[in-house]
Amino acid sequence: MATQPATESDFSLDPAAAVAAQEGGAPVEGMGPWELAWRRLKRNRVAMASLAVFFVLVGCCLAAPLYAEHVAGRGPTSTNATGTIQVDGKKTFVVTPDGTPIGPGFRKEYFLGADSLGRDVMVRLLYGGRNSLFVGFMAALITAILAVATGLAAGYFGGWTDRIISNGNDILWSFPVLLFAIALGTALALGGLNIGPISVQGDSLWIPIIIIGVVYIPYFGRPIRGQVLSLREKEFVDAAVAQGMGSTRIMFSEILPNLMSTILVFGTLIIANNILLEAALSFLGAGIQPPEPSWGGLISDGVNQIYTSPHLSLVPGVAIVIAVLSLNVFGDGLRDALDPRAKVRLR
Amino acid sequence: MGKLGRRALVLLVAALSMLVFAACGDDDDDGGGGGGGGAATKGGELNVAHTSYPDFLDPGLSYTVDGWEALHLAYTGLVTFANGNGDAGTEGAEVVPGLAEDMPEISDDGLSYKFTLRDGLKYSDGKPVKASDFKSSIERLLEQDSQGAGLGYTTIKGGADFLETKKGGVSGIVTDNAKRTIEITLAEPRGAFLYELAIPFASVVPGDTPAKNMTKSPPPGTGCYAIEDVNLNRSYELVRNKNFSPSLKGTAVDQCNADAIHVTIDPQTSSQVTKVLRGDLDFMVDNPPPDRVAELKGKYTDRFEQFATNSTFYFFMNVEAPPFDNLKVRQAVNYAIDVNAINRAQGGVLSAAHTTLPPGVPGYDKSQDDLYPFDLEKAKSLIKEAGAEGEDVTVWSNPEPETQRTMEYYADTLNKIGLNAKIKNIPAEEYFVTIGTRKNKPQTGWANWFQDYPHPSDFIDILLNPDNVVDVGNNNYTYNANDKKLADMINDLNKEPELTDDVIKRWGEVDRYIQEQAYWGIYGNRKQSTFFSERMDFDSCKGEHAVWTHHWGMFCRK
Repeated sequence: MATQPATESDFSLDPAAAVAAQEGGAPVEGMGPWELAWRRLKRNRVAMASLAVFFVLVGCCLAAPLYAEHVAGRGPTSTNATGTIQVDGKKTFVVTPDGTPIGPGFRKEYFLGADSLGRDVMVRLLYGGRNSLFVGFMAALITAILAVATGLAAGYFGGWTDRIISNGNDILWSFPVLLFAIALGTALALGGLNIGPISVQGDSLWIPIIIIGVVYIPYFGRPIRGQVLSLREKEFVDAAVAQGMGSTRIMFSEILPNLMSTILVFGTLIIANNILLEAALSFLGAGIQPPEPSWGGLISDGVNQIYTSPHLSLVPGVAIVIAVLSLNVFGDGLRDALDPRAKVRLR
Repeated sequence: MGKLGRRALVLLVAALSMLVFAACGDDDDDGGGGGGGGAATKGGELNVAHTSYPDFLDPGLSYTVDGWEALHLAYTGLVTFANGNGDAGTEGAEVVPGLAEDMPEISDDGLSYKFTLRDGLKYSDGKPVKASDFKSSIERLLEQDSQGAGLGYTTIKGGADFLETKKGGVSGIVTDNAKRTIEITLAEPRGAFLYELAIPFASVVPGDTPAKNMTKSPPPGTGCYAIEDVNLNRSYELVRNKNFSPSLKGTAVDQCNADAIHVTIDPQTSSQVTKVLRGDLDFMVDNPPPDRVAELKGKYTDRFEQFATNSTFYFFMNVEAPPFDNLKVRQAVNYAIDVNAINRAQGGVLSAAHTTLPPGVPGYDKSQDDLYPFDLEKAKSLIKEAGAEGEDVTVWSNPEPETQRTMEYYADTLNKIGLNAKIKNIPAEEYFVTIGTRKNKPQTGWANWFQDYPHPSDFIDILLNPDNVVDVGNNNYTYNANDKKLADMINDLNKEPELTDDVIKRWGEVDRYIQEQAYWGIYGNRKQSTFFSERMDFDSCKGEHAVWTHHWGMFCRK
């Protein structure tokens, strides 16, 4: 989304005054920057609608065990390849003898059809969503913590600390993300991760979480470092130094609060990226390990039957599009809301 | 009918007889010829596609169906396999003379094999074939540590030493170039030895062929085709051998209908199907993707069919890794396997089976297929009886889509009968090495075996002989090293030089014993497809073969 060229008033430290200047009226009294951002965000209907869509999706996925138990009557890994169900009063194979599974239909069981093992696609989609979203969130959390910590240290201390961290990020960045993640995923899926007391099994969800969390550190860390470089030259940092504050306290109590808007916006967008990367890894067999469902894995399962049963790949594909699109649109809205230069009407 | 009329009739009959002889080729008394149920059209060029390039285009190294389908047309051993009639089944499983004039004289103790080469044999470069070339070809195979060395060639006297030291030659092969004789002496009798002489590993190549991978420039051979224009990982050509030996005319080796076969690589089987339908390809080596099979079965019955291959697909159970040390647990798994469910998961490419030996291999007995009918409740009660409820089981698998689906079914089935199963995926290229390493203690997992040759020992001896259990590089994933009874039964049968009716019956009994011990959970034999373009003669030239899967030399155009 494009922003207007900056003017002198944009650099005011008083957000209320800045908003007032943009609105061409009197300052909005008594509002903090977060309250202002929330008011801006609320007025962005597309962003709020995207957030609502995302929450509905998350809610549905969280309700997967209820759906599996009370509606579909089977779990995500429960096979039923030789079973039959009643469709329009007729006994119908869940999977035909030549391997073609039943398609979607308005019924309790197999609402979105079956896969070639007779598993309920709707149940697997919801459970897959739980896994994919969990990986997306947790990987984003790991990325954010590590990127903020390293970005803060690199930007604030500069010198050797900056060089070591920045070169590390450059090395990480020089690998194509997907190939790097596939290589890590394949290696770790085989032997698991064993570092000192930490031991993670190869089929654990934490393997893709760690991989995705690590590969995106440079993408998050660099902008943080850039912003810290700028903030450490500000007067309020000088004042804190003059008051005798230690480096750690300055970083976490003075600089970090000023990074929150960047962290929030990047965090939202990185979750969407993580969901996509997880899907790609699982599609290629280096992500969430079967029989645990994931959206990428479900697409991969359906590829071999795309001709006769396109729903197997289409349904999880649509789920990924909805999740990623809603997060991206909401992220854009959040960025606009947190940006004091953004032109968003307050009244 | 007048005089002229009778003369005309005689001439017509004579002319027709000549035409029939010409169409069928020379009458062969060596088990060769054939070429299908009707008259095969000779000539023309064919386009064939693989999904991936053959492992090697070198007869001493290749150990895949993809490789052998091409190599057996260009290279011949002392003996070879009959051509059969082009329809799937056991025809073509018979060993017949190849470069040898006749079948060998075998000594009573089964240790000595005497061959005489045919007269006037030539390689495709025009140079003469010498008896000593056979010895150098076997030594070349062993010198390269070919996978084929694991077969019976080290049973030849001096073969095992040569494999280890690469020095001194294989003393058990004595040749006389002037008399064209070859005498092979074995260190111990080996019932399948003749079969092992008939597969491409034992093909005869010139004595000066370097002991290195010759895929880029395959050595001259004696088959009716020669491999030319090798473009690695892209294409190669099979062209008619201009120096084909006259003494091989009319034998099993003389079976090349088309003038040339252009072989290309197309990694997508779905795209290959489209190309065959368009006529850009005449034949695809691999099976069509499962979601196209139903369409082909329904719409193209005049050029598509499936047939069972000599293969066995099974879940191995490691008797050294609890709970599979308990017979009841292994039996429970056998009762719990629903072959129909697995077949559906694989798109209908399986032919249901419970025996170790597939139907095309001597020793197969259909009446033995009833030991473990599908019964989930019985399986659950056996697990309870064994006290194995809730025991952790790691199911070893690899990410190949069909394998993955099958193993997801298998893990779910083990959970249904009361075990606690989890899948462990190993990259496909490392899979067999990993499960073949004893210290990894793979509890249970996926395995399959496609025959090298249609002899029961190729399945039972290689895959289940307790004496073959080693620490690394196992094919016996059951690790049943303590089953001395089975070892004795197999070792006794291995010494039988011929597959007499009695020997075949005894192999059948061994198969039954293996099932009673429930070492494997067997679920089927893999079907292979024949799918031709419209211009191919499907009725007369299907070329389905018990050993080569498809005999491209039997293919012909309408």
